[in-house]
Amino acid sequence: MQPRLASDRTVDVLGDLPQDVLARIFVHLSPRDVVNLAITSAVVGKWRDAGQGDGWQTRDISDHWMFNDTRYGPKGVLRNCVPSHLGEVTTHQVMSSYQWCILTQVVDLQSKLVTSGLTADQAQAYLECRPSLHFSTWYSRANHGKGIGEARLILQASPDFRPYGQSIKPLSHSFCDPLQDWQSCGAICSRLCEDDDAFQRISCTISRLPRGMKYACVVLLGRDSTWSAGHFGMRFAIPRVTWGCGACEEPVHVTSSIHIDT
Amino acid sequence: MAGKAVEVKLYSCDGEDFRVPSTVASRSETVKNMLEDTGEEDAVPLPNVHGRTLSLVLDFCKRLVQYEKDLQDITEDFQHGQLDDEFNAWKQDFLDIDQAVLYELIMAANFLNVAELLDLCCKEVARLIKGKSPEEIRAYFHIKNDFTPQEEEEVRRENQWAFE
Repeated sequence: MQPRLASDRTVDVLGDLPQDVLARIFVHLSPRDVVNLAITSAVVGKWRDAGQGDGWQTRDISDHWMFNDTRYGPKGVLRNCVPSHLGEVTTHQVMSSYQWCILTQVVDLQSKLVTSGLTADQAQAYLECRPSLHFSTWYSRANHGKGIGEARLILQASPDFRPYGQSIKPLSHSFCDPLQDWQSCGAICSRLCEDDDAFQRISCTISRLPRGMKYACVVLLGRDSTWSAGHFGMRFAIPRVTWGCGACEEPVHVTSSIHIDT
Repeated sequence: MAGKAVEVKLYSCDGEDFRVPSTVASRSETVKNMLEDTGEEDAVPLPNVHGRTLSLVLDFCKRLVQYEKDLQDITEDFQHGQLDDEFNAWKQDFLDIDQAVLYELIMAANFLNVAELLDLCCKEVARLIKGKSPEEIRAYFHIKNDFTPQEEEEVRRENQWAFE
């Protein structure tokens, strides 16, 4: 029997859906179903070599990710993972080496709105309404020992982003506890310290986008606190910037997602 | 006497107009925020939702509003289950759509931020996936297999825990 409403279009439903929607689907599936799904296509299930930056060895990554090498550190590695216990699902994570690694992406907020269907004028008007912006990422240590790092969201009026000009400095060894020290103006930052393999999630909401801010710069830093060559440091998964409030820990209106994959 | 419900005007990307009570339109957080910013007199443009899809979204929102109103009106406990059964049956009929329409509905529910509808659609996709082999999922969702047999085997091996 034909469905009540049918379309002659063929759509790769799973390939085309945003990752946060996929996560909503996956929570209703058993691990076996998720893995079966991951096996269906390389699009959703396979690492592919892309980035070649030292320190971060990343796969399935967008060209917009930039890398900073650690010169002496080993290359981080990626492992296939389906961390369904996160409540979100990804097969992608990045892992720092034992020395400082940095991963950044600059998001043009207005362009993201246009991509999602608004006109340029509507997108500008939307930004002028000072909507909420939510930032979250999952993190854990990448190996034995203790990983330390930072997750930052820096809001800017222009795309000119120089991480080292923004006083990003390595943290001292003294950070022993997870410290969520969000600042509401311009830049928000969370210092992370992790001695557990389990992923944890940090998030922050900017309740009203500061006037004139059009770019969101995501910065993730990580290393192993022991400085031991051959060890990996911090790992991150699903760094994400979304519109809306994060009170319920779920993005309510996703128009911009930063993913490690594309 | 209860006042007449305020109607708002939504229009889709293909120029179709919809007049609906603001209580219905506001089930979409996106529309609700826009109405709060611009007022209920102004028409709300929804530039990335087609008329046919918006019609489905609004059907759902109307039924949801009705369901919630009915819940408030019930006086007996047994009526609660009856309303749930009726609403579930309605949802089952509502989802009698092909996967391309379902895809459009998910994207619209996501953009419009109608949480109940997005959850409903995601559960439906999960239902379609459950218990299927990779081959069956590929066939159903038109997913091209770009794994080599060796790569596919590697993924299976790495995720063997899920099958144990």
